[in-house]
Parts: sequence; C-alpha cells; structure tokens
Amino acid sequence: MARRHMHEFGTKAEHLGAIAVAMRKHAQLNPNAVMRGKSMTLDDYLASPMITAPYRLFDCCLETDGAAAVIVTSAERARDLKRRPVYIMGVAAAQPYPADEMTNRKDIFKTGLTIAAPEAFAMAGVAPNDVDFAEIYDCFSAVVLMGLEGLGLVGRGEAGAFVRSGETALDGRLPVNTHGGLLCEGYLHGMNTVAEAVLQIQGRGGDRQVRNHETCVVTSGAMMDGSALILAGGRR
Amino acid sequence: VTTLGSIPPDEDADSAWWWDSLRRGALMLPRCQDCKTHFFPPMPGCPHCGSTELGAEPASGRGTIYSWVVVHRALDPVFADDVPYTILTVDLDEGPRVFGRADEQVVPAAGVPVRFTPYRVGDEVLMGFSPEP
Repeated sequence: MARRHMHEFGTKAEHLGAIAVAMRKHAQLNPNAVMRGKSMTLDDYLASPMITAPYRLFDCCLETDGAAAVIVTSAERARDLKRRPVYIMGVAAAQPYPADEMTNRKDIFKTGLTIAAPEAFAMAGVAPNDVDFAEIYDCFSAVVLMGLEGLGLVGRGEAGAFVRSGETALDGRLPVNTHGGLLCEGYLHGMNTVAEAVLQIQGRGGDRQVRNHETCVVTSGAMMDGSALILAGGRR
Repeated sequence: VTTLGSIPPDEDADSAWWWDSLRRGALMLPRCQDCKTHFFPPMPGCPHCGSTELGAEPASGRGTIYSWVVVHRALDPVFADDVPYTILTVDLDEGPRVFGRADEQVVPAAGVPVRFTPYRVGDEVLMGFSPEP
C-alpha cells in the first residue's frame, strides 16, 4: 500500500521519513517511550537499513513488552472520580468491501476506516476539522498516511506533505501521535494510543502536553479493517 | 536450504484444489456462478455477493503490475540467497489481484504487463511473473 500511495500521489521516502522523525521527536518528551534518548534526523532515517522497500528499519514499529489500560464506566459514575472524565463521543468500526486486504478491491485506499470515520464523527456530532489532535495507529509509517486521509483530516494523497510541513508537531495545527506512536513509544497494539488520548485530554501529558486538548480522534487499523473513536473532555 | 521451512503453503479444505493445480503449473481462479465474478484467494463464499455456488476456471495468466515491494530481509531461509528480490502485486486480466515473485527480467513499475510463470522452490510451486513480451 505504501508503494501504491507513492505511485498514485507522489509520496516519497522523505514523506515516510518525516513521519518517523516526527514520532521520534515526540518520544523524546515521553518518559515511557522506548525510543526516548535516541533522537533521529531525516538523514539518520534515510541511512537506516532497508527491510522491505519502500520500508526501512524506522518505518516499522517496535516490538515491545508492556501494558496499558483504560477504565470505562458510566458518565454518572465518572463525575465523582478524582481525574477529569474523558467522554466517548462516537465510535465505529468497519470492513472494506469486499472485506479483504487487497485481492478483490479495485481501490485499496477505500479502507474500512473510510466507512467507519464518518459514522464515528456523526455519532459524536463533530466534524474532522473540530478535533484538536489525533492519535493514529501506526504499525508502519505509511499507515499514518492512510489514517489521516481515511479520517478525512486531510484530502486523499495529501497526508505526506501535511506531515512534512510540520503541522502534526506538538505545536502544529493538528498534533499527531503525541506519545511517539507505536513507532517510538512502544507497540502495545494501539492500546497505548487510546491511553495517550485520555492523558492528553485530562491535561496529564507532561512535557508533551498539547495546548488545545478538548477533542481527539483515535484510530486502529487502516490497511483493511478500521475503527475510529472520538473522545472529548468537559462536563456532560 | 531447499524447502519452505517456516512458511509452507497454507492449504485448507477451501484451497487444496488450487494448490494442486499450481503444482501442475496451472494458475486457476475461483469464479462465482451467480454474479460471475472471479475472485482470489479460494474461499467458501463469493466475497462480492456471498453466494456459495462457486466454480473454477484457468486464468489467462496475463495481468499488469499494481504495486510491488523489494525484500531485503528474507522471510524464510530458503529465500536468503535471493535478496534483494521483488514481490509483485498483479491485477490479473480477470479482475483479482494476486501476489508473486518477479523474475529477474521484470522492471517493476505500475501498469507494466506481466505473465504468470510457476516459481519453483524445492518441491513446492508458488506464483511467479515474467515480463509479457
């Protein structure tokens, strides 16, 4: 899918590298990140060994032992908790049609996420432009492209340039993967990505706290099946 | 190393016939008898309409490259001496998209025409592709 994205939209190694570098930068501010203390430039990325082209070593997520958890309860009970509650505003999961990786679908970028995202946003009563930050499943760098585009946060084919422009940095227009992602915090199959969204909305992001943190979208999957979760703080 | 030690073909009740035909050097495609769509891989129902009235037909073997990867770290020891090698994603003329090893004559690019050739590894046969002249 990464190669096909390159063919259709002109995405280049430097765009994938921009994702890996951005995640690495965020990880430097996260005490839990496996890649903390190991900064990386675009040149470092480009010099890393090819695994399966177009993916280099640092396009691939980590293999990590770890744990993350969230506690889900009713809004009523959550009101009495010591921490500021985070509300599940919308959630949806979907398979593409036909429901397979890529063997029977004409357009592989019509992923499950492109079906799930509008449903999740509608349930939450918000538009993609309303989210303050995004936590995108990133088993590989290019999956961030599929996530941003599949959610409708950017237009189709535009995600590479968007990341490279710096808009997804902690002080950018749309901070993405504030924990460093699965690429650099650790690969807890995306559960850490949900937990990061909660921490940020609660204002517990420490050195990596984003300024605007009311509303967040979280994804899982993106190459085939996909899901979107809209979380928000405030009183409800 | 001459056999697929860690990743032998994943044969099951739905796909054994397909692997048997590949071992004879033939590329077959399942086809729905209701909506008439070819699909891949073999499975118990049509992924397009859900019908279980399925048949099989020989594929033309012709298609065009949809995408590709170049493997620098072999998935199985049997491929270790081949790196780097190219795995193609090919849109067959019948519709389904399949995967296979590019022979050394293929210069991969989207849209390039290729033709199925059995790719032999030890006593197994996998899908392979050569340039379409």
